[in-house]
Amino acid sequence: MQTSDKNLKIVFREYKEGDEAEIINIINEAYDKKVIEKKTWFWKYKNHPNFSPENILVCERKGEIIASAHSTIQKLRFKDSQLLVGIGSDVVVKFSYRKQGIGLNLFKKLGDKLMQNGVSIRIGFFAPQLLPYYRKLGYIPIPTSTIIYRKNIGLTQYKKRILCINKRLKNRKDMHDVNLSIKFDLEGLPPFIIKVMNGKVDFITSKNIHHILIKGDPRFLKPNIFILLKGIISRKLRVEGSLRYFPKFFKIFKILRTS
Amino acid sequence: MPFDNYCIRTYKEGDEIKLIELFTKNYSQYVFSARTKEYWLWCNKKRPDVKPNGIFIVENNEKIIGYAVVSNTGNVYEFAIDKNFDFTKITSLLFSKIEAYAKSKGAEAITVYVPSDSKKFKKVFFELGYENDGHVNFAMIVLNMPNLIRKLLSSSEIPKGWNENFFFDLKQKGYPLVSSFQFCLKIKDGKTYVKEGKPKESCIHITTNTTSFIELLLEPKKIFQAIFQKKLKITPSYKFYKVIKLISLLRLPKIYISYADIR
Repeated sequence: MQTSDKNLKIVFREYKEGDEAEIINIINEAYDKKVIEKKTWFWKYKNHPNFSPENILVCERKGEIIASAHSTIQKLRFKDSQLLVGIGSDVVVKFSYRKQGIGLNLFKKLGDKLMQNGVSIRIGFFAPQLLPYYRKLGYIPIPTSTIIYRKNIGLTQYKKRILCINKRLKNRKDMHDVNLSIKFDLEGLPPFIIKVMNGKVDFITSKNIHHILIKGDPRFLKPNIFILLKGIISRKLRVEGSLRYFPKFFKIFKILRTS
Repeated sequence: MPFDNYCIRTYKEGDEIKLIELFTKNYSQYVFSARTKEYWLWCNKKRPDVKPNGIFIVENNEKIIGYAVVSNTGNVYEFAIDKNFDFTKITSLLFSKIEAYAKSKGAEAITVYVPSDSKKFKKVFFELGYENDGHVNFAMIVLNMPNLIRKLLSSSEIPKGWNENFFFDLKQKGYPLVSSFQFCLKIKDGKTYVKEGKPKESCIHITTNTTSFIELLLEPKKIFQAIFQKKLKITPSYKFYKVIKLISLLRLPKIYISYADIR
């Protein structure tokens, strides 16, 4: 398949061997970070049991790939029968060629290909912030019977959130004389200490002296004050320490809540 | 009553057949991606972030009664437990193993996808310290409406003795990727025939747009709202109850998306 757009002098064609490096580059450029590696791209598309070169379309201009769109065909088990669905993903256009209808063209051409292959439904998993854009194209959000459960077992997320308040602490003169260490001993997580000193917050994982101890179920340690109170009242979350430290603790807690 | 003699081992070549059987049996009430051996191996074992020692299998007297596929980053891609065994006990056992494995690989969190309507999942995961992180959502476009209607009808029970002809005139404007469809549906003696094009015999005309029609297939009870808002026109109008009957038969089932099905 090869079609062209005379105004832009671009050509739409199917994937061919050797395109992958350029396609991967475009995808990573579009997201502004490395979201896909060669190994993952090969697994995701080329090594898919239903792979066919026509499931990947590229848009070329003067021999350079400027956009690509991927899809995989999957059989959906429908009681006793099966329904073919096309899962669209990684539709990307190089930044300098955006807003010229190339992405939409790729969407349409890929849809035609899927239909020719007997696909009845085309689906996509999108980030919630992209949904308004896909709605404009005609996609209808579908609720699924699937729920996500999550449990943190590492501290990176906590560390990131806590350290990001440093910028705000710099501007708070009232915090410059606060000196307090809060130890967190949360279920399923290694213990850690938040040390606030001279208007700076530190995240410590080694043993250290602490003034206040918070222990219990991390699910109640939320910015929402009602969830937090619920945890404390139900004794799922416990705050221990001398009362004289509590005014300082609330001061810090107010800032931590916003992180 | 099975004995509580559970042991956990890691995956070995050839296990996949039993695991596919267990998964299919476990989630039989949902619509999900059909598992063939080739597809299962691709979406689980061959995943770049899954190692064979990240596939845990629970056995009871050498019979596979549960399993979970875990990535180095703590994603539980697939998970099933035989309904005839102690779900709570096996899940706790399996997830303690999963958490230890994920920690050893430096994972930051454990993420698992489970059916939302199951109370037992909710209870067990709450007890294990997990929190609800929302629903999995996706969006869809119908490329071939007559074919979808054929599939939906093939999995529904058509009342015997119901003979009716319908004509669907689904027009769509304003959405670049959505097509218009015109097709006839003939119901005769419990059998259905879907044919593209305009009708040659008298029938009930259903005029709407494609997106509104899909929304009706998702929530048939919105049919009255659609009629009042003039999004749906039925001719002759006094036969609207037959259209309601039909739409309720065409209801789109909820889909269970296993983590393994998402790339």
